[in-house]
Amino acid sequence: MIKINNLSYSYTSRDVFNGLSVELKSGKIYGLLGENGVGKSTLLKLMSGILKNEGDAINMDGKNPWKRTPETMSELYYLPEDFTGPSNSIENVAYGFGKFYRNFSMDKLHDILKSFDLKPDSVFTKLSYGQQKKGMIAIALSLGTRYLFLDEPTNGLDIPSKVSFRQLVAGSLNEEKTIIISSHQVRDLDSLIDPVIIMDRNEIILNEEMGEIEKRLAFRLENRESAEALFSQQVINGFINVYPNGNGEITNIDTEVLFNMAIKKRETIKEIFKNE
Amino acid sequence: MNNILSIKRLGKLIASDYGLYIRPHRNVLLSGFLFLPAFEILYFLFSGTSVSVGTRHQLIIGIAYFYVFLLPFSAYKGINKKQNGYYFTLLPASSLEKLISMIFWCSIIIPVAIVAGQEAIDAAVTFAIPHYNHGYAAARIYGSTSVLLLLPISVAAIFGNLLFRKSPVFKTIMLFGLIYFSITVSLGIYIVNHVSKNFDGNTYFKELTSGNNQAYEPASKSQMIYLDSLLKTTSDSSGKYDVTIKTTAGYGENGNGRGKNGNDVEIEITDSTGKIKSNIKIGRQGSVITGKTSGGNSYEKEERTVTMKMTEKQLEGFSEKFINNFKDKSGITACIGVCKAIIFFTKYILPLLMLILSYFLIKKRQIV
Repeated sequence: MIKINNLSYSYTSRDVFNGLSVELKSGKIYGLLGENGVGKSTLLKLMSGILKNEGDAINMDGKNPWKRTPETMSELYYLPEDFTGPSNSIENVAYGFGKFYRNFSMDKLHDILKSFDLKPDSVFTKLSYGQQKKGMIAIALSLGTRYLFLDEPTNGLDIPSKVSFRQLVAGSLNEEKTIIISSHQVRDLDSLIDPVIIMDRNEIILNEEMGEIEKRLAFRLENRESAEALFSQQVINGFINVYPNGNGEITNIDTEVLFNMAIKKRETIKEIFKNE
Repeated sequence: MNNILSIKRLGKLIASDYGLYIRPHRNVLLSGFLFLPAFEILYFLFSGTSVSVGTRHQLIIGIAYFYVFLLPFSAYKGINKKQNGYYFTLLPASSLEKLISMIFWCSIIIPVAIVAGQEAIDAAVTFAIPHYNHGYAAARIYGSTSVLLLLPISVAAIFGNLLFRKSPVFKTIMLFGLIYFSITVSLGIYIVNHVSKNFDGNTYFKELTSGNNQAYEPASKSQMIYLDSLLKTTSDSSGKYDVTIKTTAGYGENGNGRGKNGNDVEIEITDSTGKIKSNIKIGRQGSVITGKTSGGNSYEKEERTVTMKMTEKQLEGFSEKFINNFKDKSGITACIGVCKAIIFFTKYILPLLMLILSYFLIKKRQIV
């Protein structure tokens, strides 16, 4: 479990967090959603120990990742959005990292690379950006860490690869693992993420499991915008109107609509989900 | 789990660092072995003679300096910045282990390999063509202090690479240039101040153990004070030995404005019957001249004589102790001491400081 309590962080030019608190449980794939610049990557870096959290604000099973002890680092892996592929083959890089992670599996790496249609002996620097991304995702998943933080992992992936990505991530989850995927491309994570965390500047607007969202909100595709809806968004074949779900109706949650609603109608969202 | 230093994990890290950081630069490092043969060929073509063994040795060391300095910047490029920094920081090894692995490759293995490899090539050429290459450059390694400088150079490069995010090579050179410039200026200021405080301007003492009249050192007031204090602190009226210390210093001005006269120190010990027990003379005896020379220089001398009584016990080692203490009081000796301290600092203390700072840079640096 990850407990974040009263987290504050700022860069020289601006404050990012001021008193942020959230709890992240094991056995879940969290979708960390938010607009550009709200601090999604910063939060992942703080949880990875790459940035310093003051006053032990982040607690991962009793340890502060900023201390960067080998024990803590061997339990987590962070895949950044921007990276430079090493001048080495995927297999060699994985082998070099894998020695330090007790659950690393070379077989799993090969299986994942096969799904991505990549050869293990491909050298990173000779691959396109999207292929490098797939190689790094494969390494990240094969390390088998308890905590896996993926920052915009679907950027640069083609559509078939996005499908493979969702399947692979879902397949790698177990009760002890916590996977956090940050993205502003909400559609890429449809049917993968549960719970959803929607961030805005220095606050978490929504942190709920899909089941709970289903109970409280109904998403209906209709011909026109409804005045009674809490929120409406135009789509190709009409409008998706969001209503309070008073009668236990089961509807498909449109994550993108949910995200836009949370950003534009944050007080409404907070009101609906305030009684936890 | 040991989170500070695990030999097993360190071994894995060393192997991993080789694969990730050193091996990709293998070809560049191997190319360093071509410099010496290429230089020798070109030298022979242009001059018709072979390169001397001393030059070959210096060239080998120079090439090693070049590679050893640049290696950390190249192999561990960007480990304090995002992208490359993430891999390095996230690797589950302690900061100490990461630093040790860096030192292992950049300060020990690669420098030894570069020097040994080049020496081997040189030895092979010398063995194969003895009439071309005279002498083995490898023989110059023994007792060579220049080889030992490879360690502080590589430590400086490791530190600079960890410290500076942009233009680390240039900034590291500037940083250490600034440090050594500051040390040199500080030393110069110290020498001037110290000598001006103690130098009475008119009296010179030669280096006491040397008969060479080319080496002059300014006498210090502290030497004079020491001589005078001996009388007060050492003399024992019950002692049966008379110790007479006579110093003669010549001074004056020549065309260069420097004293050119010699000096000497004579220590004579006599017993109560007047029999000479020992007589020690130091310096170029009889070298002090007075009066004017044909060249228009004017010399004078100053003699100081201290006589005291000492017991047998006080005499033990007295002469040697006096000479050492007397030398120690001179301005030059003090300056030489400071120079030695600075050399010690830059050779041992500064690299150690850099290693400690490097450790904290690995442990506490945020990757932004």
